[in-house]
Amino acid sequence: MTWMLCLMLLAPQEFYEMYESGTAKLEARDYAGAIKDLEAATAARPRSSETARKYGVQLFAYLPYHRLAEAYLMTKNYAKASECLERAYENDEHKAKDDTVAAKMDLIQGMLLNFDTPQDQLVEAPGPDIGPIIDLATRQERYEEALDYIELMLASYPDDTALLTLKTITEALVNTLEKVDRNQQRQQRRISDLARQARESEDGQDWEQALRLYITLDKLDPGNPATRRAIVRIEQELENIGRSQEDIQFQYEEARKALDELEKQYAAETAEREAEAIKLRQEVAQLKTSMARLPRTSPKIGNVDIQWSIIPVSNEKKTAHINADITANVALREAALFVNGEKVRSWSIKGRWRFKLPSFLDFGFRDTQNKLELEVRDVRDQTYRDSFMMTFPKSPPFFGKRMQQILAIAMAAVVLVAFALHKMHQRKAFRERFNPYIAGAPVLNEQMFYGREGLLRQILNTLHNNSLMIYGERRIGKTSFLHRLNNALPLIDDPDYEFIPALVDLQGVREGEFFATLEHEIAAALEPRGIALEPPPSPLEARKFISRLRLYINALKDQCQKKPKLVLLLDEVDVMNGFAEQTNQQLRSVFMKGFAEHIVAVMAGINIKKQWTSEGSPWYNFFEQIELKPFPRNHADALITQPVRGVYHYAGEAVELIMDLTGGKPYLIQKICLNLISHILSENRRKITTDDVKYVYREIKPELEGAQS
Amino acid sequence: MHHRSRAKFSSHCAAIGLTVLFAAILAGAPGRAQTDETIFREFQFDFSTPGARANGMGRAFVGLADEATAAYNNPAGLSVLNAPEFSLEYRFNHNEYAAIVSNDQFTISQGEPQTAFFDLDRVGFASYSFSLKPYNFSAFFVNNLDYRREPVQDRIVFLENEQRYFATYLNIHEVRRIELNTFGLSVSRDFGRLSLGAAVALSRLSLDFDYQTSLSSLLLGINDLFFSETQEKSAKMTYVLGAHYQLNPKLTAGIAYKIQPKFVYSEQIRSSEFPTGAPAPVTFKIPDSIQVGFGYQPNDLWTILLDVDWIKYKQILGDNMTILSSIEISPDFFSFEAEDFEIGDTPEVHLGAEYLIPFRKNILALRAGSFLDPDHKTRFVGQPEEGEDPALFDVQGFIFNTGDKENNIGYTAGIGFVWNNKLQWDVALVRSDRFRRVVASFLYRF
Repeated sequence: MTWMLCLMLLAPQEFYEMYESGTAKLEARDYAGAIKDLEAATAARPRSSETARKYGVQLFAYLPYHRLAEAYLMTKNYAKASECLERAYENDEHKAKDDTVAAKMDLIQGMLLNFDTPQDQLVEAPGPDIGPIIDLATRQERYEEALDYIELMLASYPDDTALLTLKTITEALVNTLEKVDRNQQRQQRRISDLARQARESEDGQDWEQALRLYITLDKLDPGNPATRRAIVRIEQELENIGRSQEDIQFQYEEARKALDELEKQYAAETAEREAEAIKLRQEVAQLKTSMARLPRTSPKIGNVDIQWSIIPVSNEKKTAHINADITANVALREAALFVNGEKVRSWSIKGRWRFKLPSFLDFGFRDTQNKLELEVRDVRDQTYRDSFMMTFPKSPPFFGKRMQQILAIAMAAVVLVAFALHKMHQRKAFRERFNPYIAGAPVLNEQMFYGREGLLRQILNTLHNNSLMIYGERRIGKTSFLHRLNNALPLIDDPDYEFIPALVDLQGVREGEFFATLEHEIAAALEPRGIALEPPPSPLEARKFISRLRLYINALKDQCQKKPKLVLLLDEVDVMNGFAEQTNQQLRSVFMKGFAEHIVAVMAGINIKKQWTSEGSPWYNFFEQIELKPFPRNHADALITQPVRGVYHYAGEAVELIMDLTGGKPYLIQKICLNLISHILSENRRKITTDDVKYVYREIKPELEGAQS
Repeated sequence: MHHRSRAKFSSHCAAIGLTVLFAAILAGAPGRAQTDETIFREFQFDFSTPGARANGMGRAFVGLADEATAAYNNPAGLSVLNAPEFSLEYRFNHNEYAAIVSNDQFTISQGEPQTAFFDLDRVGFASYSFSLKPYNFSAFFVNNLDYRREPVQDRIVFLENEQRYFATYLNIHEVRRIELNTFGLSVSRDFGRLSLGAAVALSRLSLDFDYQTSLSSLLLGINDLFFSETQEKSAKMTYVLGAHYQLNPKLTAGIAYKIQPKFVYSEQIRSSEFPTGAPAPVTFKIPDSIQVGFGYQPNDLWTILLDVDWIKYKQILGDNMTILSSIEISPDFFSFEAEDFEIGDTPEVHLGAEYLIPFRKNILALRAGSFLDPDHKTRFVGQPEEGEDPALFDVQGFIFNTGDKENNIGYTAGIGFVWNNKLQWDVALVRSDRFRRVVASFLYRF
């Protein structure tokens, strides 16, 4: 309870009471008292307001910080004065409707800049800036206050001539104005005395005397309504007591005489007073003129620090985020951002001591080297500038604009050349009657080998440990496929084996020449590797063949870094159906020897399968059997269109018709396409239509049917 | 029903018990005191905070009390004043008084009375305050009651709905004046955030009226006449204690306790019991009150007020109630007792807001508010005991309990203009279920 009571007793007064008290003390030049009260007010209510609430329905301008700044300035506490002035600006006290507040803040700002120089440098410092004091005196006619500021400044600049002159003039003005005031008071006293005498006469019902005095008063102080009313009132009284108009007029005459007497009496004094008044007015005007003409030094420069923050975003696009912080020891008015001399934007920042630029995100610069400038003006119109160079790295030549143009032109040229070459190739091909299809002979050109890619991969994956039998109808492409294998096997990058193919065509081989033929083709296949044996005996028996085969494989083992795998690609194995079973058994035994790991066979034929499916067959269960089937439609389409792409053109229906007529058999496709090309060339055309296909089909139908049979 | 012992007066009591109930009201909305002397049933006290500013803000002001109009309602608030203030209030009242109407028990067959209206305009308040820091002194005048009626003559015949009996009721009166004025001095002092205040006032009651009622019924066997008249003036002391505390710069709280006087005056009555007339002492207690309020100023321009007022209406019953009338039931006289009447004293709630619009050196103030005034009418609730005729109680309830027992909800709006923080004009409109009022006031700060 006691604690609460103490708290209540010690609790502060209302902020407006402290503010009013502080303001009164400031007016009375009790600066210490003003600081105490105003600090207490701001502690109770920190926020300035033009419409601060008092009690009841009362609003008032609560602007304590600039007053505090003034009080601190007068007590030479410049740091606190500066701090309070900054808070005054922060609280927008300079925007008060009362213009004198902003003027006072400008004055304090100017004064503070005079004292911003360290004390030991004052001797070196230029003269004080007396402009704000002159403004205070001339514009606001607050001479006594101006004298206070002059005295304050004289403490730091005791010998400054302009300041001393200003003091002399201001003091003279104060004295003169006091005299003017005294004169006016004297005149006022005289009128008051006359009015008092008139009232006394009226109270004493000495109407004539009262009338005369009021008439005199009306002359001395014309236009006073109270005097006019008194005259009317007393005239009424005179009429009431029976005075005639002549009598009243007589009083006017008497008053005039009295006034004349009075004027005579005061004539000299009046003349003297008026002369003095004129003289004083002239004196005041002269002093004001002198004051206004006093030389003014430039307003003091404050310190404005600008911290740039430029973050490059894209060197190619020359974009960057722009930001900057402005910190000053003076109140600022305006800031403007320039890039390469052109104003980008400006901000009104009146009264602010710090300002953070709104961020410019992804600001696009025109040049590689750019100059950013911030121009800041303070409230006293002093200008500060700071710049920042923003340099983007030069783009490498490839990415240079010019280089990009060259590249584009080159690419266009390449395309044009390619197009021209293509056209030339087309014309040349047409001229040379280009016809790539192959009918009858196996396809040896890999570029003309279409389809079978899946089968090829399957076989290559199987060959490590298995021999294969490829079977299929005639003209299905078995021979061509063996040739494709023959080309592909040396290129396989197997981690364990190196494949060495030997293609053997058995068509027309007699049984007695069988092993010699095999040995011959193997020798031919290994010859490029520098592996050669003495010529074999003739005839070459199986046993001798196996012996030589071992020698070949040993030689390969010595030569190859991986395990050698000799792949015998035996075409037209149907021939072997006519051989003795012993011969077949001997061939099979080749793959049962100690070097069997290094030899596999891929056989191609039509009917061998049937022959060797019985348990007694020498090839029973020896092969993995793979059937070679007609092309699926996509492979057939490729075989039809791709070889002549860019030279001839198939109508879509024509391709479909070819596939239907050939059933996807590669030989038949090649055959009909070969004839189609010949046909259109004969008619000097490049486009193949369904009519062409029908025509050609009719022409070669017997041949095709023969081939299928 | 409460237990009581009903008295039968052979020589000094009679007929229908009339109650002199006084008081009413709140420092917010007017209240009523009722008796079967309709002059007392109808008039209104007014303990609301004077001034159009307070009236515009839902009639709440105790929590703020920051101008001279608070000299009576919470003088503690005046300690904030640092310049003398003079205030004057003028008010225009329009009151409505419910008449006797047929209900589910009785039907008026002849002379159904109309709802009565009463208009009054007068100076309601004046004050002068000045401060000698840390003290503030105020002198004030406040009118709490001013009731006048042109001569009234109501005669009704009413029939019991089961047609067992009927009766005739006559009411004639002329009220030249029933007026309560209070003149006082207040002082307050602040102790930092806490302010304490007190007021001492002289309340002056003036009465000047003639009153006559008659209730007769052949079937009930009653034929009663009652006359009364008085021309009395009396003065008593009123005391006000107040406190005001600033909880924080935006929130203030106030509390005021009013100790109101109890008057005793004399009526000259004449009835069947006193056919030649006799003086009768009448007690006139004005109810005490406790008012608590809060003021919230979220910024310089807004003010929000909340008051809760508890008027001790129950004080006007019990020992402070005077029964004047009696019914002759030959050979005796029968009268009701104070316990046959009851009154509610649920606190009132007042809420209001003010918004200031400054322009140049002047201020325009907009105000609005609302208040909830629970029913404070005195009601006859008597029940017959063994041997008593229930019809008498039914009849008494019928002619006494006029109007519905409902809360009175009111709305207020106001506007003010302040010139240069010096001269303040305010106007407020108060409208509720029971009355309408226009209040104009001005305040000058020296």
